[in-house]
Amino acid sequence: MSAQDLVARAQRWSKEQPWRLFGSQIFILVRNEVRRNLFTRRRIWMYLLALIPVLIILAHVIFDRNEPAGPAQIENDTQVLAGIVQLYYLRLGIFFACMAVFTWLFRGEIVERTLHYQFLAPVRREVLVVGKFLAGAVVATALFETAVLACVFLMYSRFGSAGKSYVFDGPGLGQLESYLLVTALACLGYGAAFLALSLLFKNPIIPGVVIMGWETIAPIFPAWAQRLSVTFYLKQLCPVSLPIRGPLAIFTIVAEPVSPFIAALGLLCLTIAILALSCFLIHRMEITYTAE
Amino acid sequence: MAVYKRRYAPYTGSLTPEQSRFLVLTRFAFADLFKSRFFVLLLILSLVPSLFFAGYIFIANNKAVQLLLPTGPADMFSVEARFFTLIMIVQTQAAFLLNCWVGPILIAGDLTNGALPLFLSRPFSRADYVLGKLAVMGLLLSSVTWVPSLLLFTLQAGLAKSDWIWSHMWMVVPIVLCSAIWILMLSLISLAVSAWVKLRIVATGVIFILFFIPAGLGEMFNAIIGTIWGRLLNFSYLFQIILARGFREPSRLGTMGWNEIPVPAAWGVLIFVCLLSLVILNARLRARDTVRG
Repeated sequence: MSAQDLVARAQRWSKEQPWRLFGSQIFILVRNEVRRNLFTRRRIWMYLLALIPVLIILAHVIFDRNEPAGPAQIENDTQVLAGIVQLYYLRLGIFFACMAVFTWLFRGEIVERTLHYQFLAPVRREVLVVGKFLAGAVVATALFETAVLACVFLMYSRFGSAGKSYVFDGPGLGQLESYLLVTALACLGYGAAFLALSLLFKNPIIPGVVIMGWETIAPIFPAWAQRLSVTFYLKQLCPVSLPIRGPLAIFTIVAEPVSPFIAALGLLCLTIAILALSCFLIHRMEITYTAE
Repeated sequence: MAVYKRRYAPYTGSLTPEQSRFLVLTRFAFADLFKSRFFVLLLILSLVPSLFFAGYIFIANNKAVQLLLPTGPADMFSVEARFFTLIMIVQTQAAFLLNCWVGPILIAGDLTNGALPLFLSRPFSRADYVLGKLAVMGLLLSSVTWVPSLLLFTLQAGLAKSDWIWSHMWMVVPIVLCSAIWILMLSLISLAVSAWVKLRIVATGVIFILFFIPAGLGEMFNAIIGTIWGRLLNFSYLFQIILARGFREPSRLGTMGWNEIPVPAAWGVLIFVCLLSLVILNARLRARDTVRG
């Protein structure tokens, strides 16, 4: 079969699909999942995970309000903020929140014995995967974007006009945009990975350990292998480099820099590839509630 | 005989002695655990580092093998306090992973399926129940922490010169004591979390997270406030400074010139975590359950 035939078949297949129906089904799935997942008691710890840094910075603002607001102090706080985003949010906060949110999307339905309702509905399983993934992404992104925004606001607000000038006339606004982009991409990347692994493993500890181990040791692997890790792309997009020495430097060092556009596009491609894998895995899925 | 004529007849067989009654739970829990192939695999993998350490001890005491190897520093093969500290750190991390897997199975299942009232309706107290579950964790985690460490110590004592054992006998105390506090803390945390959360999947995740998120938050607190006390939330670090003190070694951070948390504070936090876990267990393990509508 020639390439032209393949393209023609793909076009014909694409025209035959009821995309409008898929779109409305995905919209309804996202709406229902967000309603179920965003404002529940079970998610309180996730809010804490996202908002504890904000509370610590708030305490810092209150207790250290008499500190001098010179450029050196702003520089120091910029480094602290970079540490919070790069080491806490990207490595721990978003990682574990995504582990909880995205693993729960299907495993939670199995634990609550409700997945068969979704499978019996006239919805393609791929649509189910995409809808649930988007819902998880909306929840995680909204929460962590808000937290990062609050961190940046609180960190610079205590400097008064100097802080305002740093944000709006200096590099602050660019850094904020980068942090928001990195946060959103981290939610998508980790989310897709955890969703796929939750379809493979019953227990979240295995995907958790596997991804955490991989993301930690990926920098020592060859360049092509590093591209299979989420943090490879995220590190490229971080606007402030942390002066970390010793073993912790493995979290921040960028071995082969690529342009921010390529990094963002690369992570999106990785996310789509993992989602495609999830769509393949969901077809093999059989519900055995008794095994849980 | 007609069915309605069957009357209640009390059990007349021999009773398990009261002191060892909790071991019934332990026995059945172990039987369940060893049905899982993944658990057996994890247990074997947890013991693999000990084999490497045993190999190292063999080389350290064998001049012929050392001659075959490329020359390194003079003290390259020294089996002293630092070596046993490393063994303990590696084995306790393996114990942590094992604990994440096993801990949530022990209580969460009983609570989810409403089995606790059945246990407690027998001549079996809540303390016995907790003790039985703790014994599972204690025996299991001991088998990957102080037991292999003491075996390695014995191996070294057997291979080294005759006076080595007497000059290093003090190391038995930190091996056992430090393992004991780590095992107790891991076991109580995992039992408390599984009693609190009830769902096994969630409990596993929470136990795993409990050792990473507080550590990250503590470091962030240190960076923002400019203090060192945030490290009190890093349980692995606290254990390592207790271990370093036990083995009369400078800890990793101390050698880097960083300020350190005092050892009594580290002990205090670990004991506090154990007590807090016991309080949670006391609150959650009841022979009744409130079901929210």
